[in-house]
Amino acid sequence: MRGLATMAVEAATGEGQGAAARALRRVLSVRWVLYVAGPITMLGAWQYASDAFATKQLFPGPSETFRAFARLVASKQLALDTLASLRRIGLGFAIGSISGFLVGLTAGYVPLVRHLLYPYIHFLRFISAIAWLSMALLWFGTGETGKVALITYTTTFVVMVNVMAGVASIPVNRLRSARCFGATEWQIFAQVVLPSTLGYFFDGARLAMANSFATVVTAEMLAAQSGLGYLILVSRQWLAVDEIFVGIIVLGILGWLTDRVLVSLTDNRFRRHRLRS
Amino acid sequence: MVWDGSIVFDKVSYRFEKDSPWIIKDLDLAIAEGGFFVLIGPSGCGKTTALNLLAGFDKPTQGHIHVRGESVVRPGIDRVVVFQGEDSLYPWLSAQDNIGFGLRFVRLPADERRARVRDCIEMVGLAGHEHKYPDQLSGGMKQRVQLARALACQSPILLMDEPFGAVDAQTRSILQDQLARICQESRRTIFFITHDITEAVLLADSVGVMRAGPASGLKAVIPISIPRPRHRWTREFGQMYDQLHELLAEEALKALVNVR
Repeated sequence: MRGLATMAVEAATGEGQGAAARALRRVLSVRWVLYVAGPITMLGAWQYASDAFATKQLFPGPSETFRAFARLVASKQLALDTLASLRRIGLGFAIGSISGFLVGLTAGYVPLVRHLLYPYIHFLRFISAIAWLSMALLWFGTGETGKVALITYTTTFVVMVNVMAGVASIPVNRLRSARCFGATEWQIFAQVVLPSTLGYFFDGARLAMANSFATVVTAEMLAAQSGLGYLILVSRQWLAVDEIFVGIIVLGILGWLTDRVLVSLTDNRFRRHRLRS
Repeated sequence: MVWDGSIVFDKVSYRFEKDSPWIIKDLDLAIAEGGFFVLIGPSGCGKTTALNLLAGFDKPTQGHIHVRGESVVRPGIDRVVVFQGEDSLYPWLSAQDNIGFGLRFVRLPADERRARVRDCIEMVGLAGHEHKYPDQLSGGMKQRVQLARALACQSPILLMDEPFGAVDAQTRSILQDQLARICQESRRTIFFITHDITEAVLLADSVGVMRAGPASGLKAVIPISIPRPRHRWTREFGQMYDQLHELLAEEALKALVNVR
């Protein structure tokens, strides 16, 4: 009876001949099995680590976390906080994407604009949104505007830089052939430059979404009365680590979901726009 | 300089910047209306530069280019370009829409536009593939889309920059024959660049041989009077080939020595 490890290796590398190796290969070839295998293993490891940890309250296991989750759902607290965060992200992301796209297109295509904006773009994009948080509080108060402004800021820069790279990578012959056909510069902008950069725009949007989540959580921890960041903050103050875990996991799932939505809306439809033909 | 030609280069010189070396210097050329002119020359001698100047993508540093008596200042639909390689196609448009793209900026009734696109698809042999996207087409098919797109514009002058260079030898041979046939049926002025002497002898009314760069100009203009349709490797074909080859080989050798 050969060792289990040898069989597993053979199955994974496709070389084992025995019935067990073939069965294992067939199971592993179903993709979702691999997707799920990781988290299931992690759950097991989590439970084990939490049991082994000295102070139970500081490292709750999956079951305690799930109980906290049920509590928060029942009290409607989780729903309220999630919606608050999503509202801020949604608004900031929408405004930021559009403005980033427009500015990126213009700066990418019109040298005059690019040169004028150059110092702002390459200086500001290293200053994270959170660095501006105090300014945002002073200028906008503690309401929603400040947080939405920060998310707009970070989204604009990420999208802008991506779109500018997209414009720079348009093959020059694409523009030249449009000029041959008598297109005005406006027509070239709308019918050649814009479609060519859509793929880059969506890549930038996906990246910006991740930044938006990070920004909103930090902003909520520092200066808000609602939202998932606020929930995590309050839970820490009460040493309710199980609720912190709930907040973190919900954040991750939300981020994954919004990314999936973005990808499904755009990847197939706009895949061709990114090609060099 | 004679001014009755359809295309006239009058002492045209070009360099990128002040103090950079001249790419072409004092190029004089006259191409009659309806002629098929092929420009051959060693690598780096400025053939593409000459085409870009004629197309209006760049301005000559010195000299003038006249098309039917008027100075060339900008690209225009009277001088449509077929580029080397595939990066001038629009990947988000189907072959049919790519071919029709050239007609988007011209005032044309919709059914006439559709008819022209249909005709061009048939002319280049792409019937059945018109709904495919460029990433689904082979290299030869993509070049045919470019050719159809240029033909759809019905421009009096066609500029072609090594259009069959990136395509395999068999497809190239087929495309050359198709182009020869299309040109016989419609008398346009064609300005065609190639490295391939066989292609030149097959297609051209006259062949211009450029000198090796920098600061190159025309070494000679050789008329090809073999009657059409031409067949590769008849005796006259071979004689013209040899004549051009001798001229070109001298320059190609010089270009090798001049390698920057």
